[in-house]
Amino acid sequence: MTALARAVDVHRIYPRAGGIELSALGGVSLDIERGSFVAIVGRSGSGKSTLMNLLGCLDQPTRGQILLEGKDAGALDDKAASRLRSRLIGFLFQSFNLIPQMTVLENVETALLYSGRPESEWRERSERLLDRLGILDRSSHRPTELSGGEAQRAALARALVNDPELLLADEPTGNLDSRTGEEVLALLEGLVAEGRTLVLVTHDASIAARADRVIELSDGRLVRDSGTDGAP
Amino acid sequence: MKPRALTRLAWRGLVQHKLRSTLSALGIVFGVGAVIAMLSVGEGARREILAEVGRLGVTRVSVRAGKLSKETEHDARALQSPGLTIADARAIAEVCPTIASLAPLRELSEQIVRDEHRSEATVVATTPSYVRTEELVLREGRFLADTDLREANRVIVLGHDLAASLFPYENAVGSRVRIELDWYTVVGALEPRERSRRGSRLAGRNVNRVAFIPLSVIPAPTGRVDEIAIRIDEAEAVRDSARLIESVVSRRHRGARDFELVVPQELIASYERARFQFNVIVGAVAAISLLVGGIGIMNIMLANVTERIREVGVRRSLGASRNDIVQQFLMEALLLTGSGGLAGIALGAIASYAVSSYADWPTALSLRAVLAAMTLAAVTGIGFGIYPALKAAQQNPVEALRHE
Repeated sequence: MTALARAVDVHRIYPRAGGIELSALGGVSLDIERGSFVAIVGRSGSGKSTLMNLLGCLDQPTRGQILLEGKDAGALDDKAASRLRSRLIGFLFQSFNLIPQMTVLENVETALLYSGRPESEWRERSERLLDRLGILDRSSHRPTELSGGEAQRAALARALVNDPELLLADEPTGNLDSRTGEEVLALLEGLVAEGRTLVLVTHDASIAARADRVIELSDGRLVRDSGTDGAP
Repeated sequence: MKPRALTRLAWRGLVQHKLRSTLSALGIVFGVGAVIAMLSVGEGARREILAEVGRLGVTRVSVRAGKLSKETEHDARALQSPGLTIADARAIAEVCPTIASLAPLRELSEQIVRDEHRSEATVVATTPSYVRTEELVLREGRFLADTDLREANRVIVLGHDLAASLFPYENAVGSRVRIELDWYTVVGALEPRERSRRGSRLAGRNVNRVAFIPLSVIPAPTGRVDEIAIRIDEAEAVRDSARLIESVVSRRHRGARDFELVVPQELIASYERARFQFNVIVGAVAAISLLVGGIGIMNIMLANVTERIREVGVRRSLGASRNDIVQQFLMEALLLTGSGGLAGIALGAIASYAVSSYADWPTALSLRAVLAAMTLAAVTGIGFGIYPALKAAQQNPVEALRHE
């Protein structure tokens, strides 16, 4: 069975002013198996978020390949990449990234807008998820009226509403107190138990410890991979 | 994205900043309003001219005795021009084969009296053929006859309003009316004729308030007349006939410009030329105001895009393609200019209504003007909205998500 996501010798170099180049990733290769919970750790600037954005088709590698479901994501045009993102991937951000002018329900429905699903299904689908995540009573509230935990649940509902296989979470508990952080983490673990794949970027060792596999990056290179520990 | 979902999305984007959106659309509102108002005035004038010409008939031509200025009077005397006379009418009739009917006339303002009823009227002294030249329709009795002219009979034919005011309850025909000291027998009364608006160049005389008497009843010493009314037999022949008539009269007057040729058909042509100039001006106003309006739209759309870069990043992460983003912002611009255009059409319609009621100009809102305005507004929206929309879509999603 092919890996859900695979990085093959991925480089990402950002051009900077004055002809200087900044290498965010310098040759990373890894496989992410279906149904696994992978934590990516490392200091800030180590390339964690860059790797996550590449896996999520939001960015293209300068060199190397990202394979999603066995297909080269770099070969997709913008439209196809966007469709893939909509279908396969759900993003979760540290700062939630809810659209402030919209209600919780509308934020969730925004993800459906780009899915091609018929509009008649939108409301029911969204409300079912909000209910499951325990914030259905907040559906007509705006993001500013929500607590941190509620906002991250709303963002999670939005990430899940298209039923993606791969969840990419960038420090999802970074802006939450430990109790609500724990709640969100428990929700994410529940999703892995359901068979979804979770890639979680964190610098919190206690969170990383709960993952099936921990990948450590340093200066854009993979320095430790617990999934391949012991193997040459 | 489906058009409906797209429209709703764009509308929501605008409603978030009601004041800003309204202000930015104002340029379009006033631009379109000005264009609509100007086009309405132009269209009103056009319809009026056409209606006037239609009423007179394109085959109608008049030679009028010119109002002499000091200069032209001096010329006329020096050239020994006899002025416009019955002899001119005869000469025209002889030379010009395309004339269907011709009537010289004199025009006086008189008070017509019948018992205690008095009425100010234009008295037209003319020949029997005037009934054909002016295409008058009789309600009762008859028009002036050849014998009336020959024998200088004191008979009179009354226009509709005149007959109604002098004879409110009884038949006019057979009764007698007085003009100054002379008594006239009423032999006919006319059907009412739809009147054109007053003050227009082509309006001619209001036949509803005219009384007709034989030309021979009030002979002028030199056979002078005020006008020679002419009907040409075919519309195609009007232009050549008018030229011929002009040369005949001009030669008889020894080149003195003491007469004026009125050709409705030519008026249409000169009106069309004036209208072209008018349209150029309207076009320039439209172009400038829509340019200004469009820049306003672009400005605000750029501000929108910059402000919502993070939203763009979020949408991209949720699966929006570049194309989706372009469509969203383009639709916002289109909605802005579209609603601005609608409001402008309403404003222009109100303005042209105000113009027609205060300045007493005819105005008419044509469907073509409305469609043209909407098209312009839409083109402006797309033209000035495309750059901000592309700018939003070209944004790198990762950087957009990081944007504060």
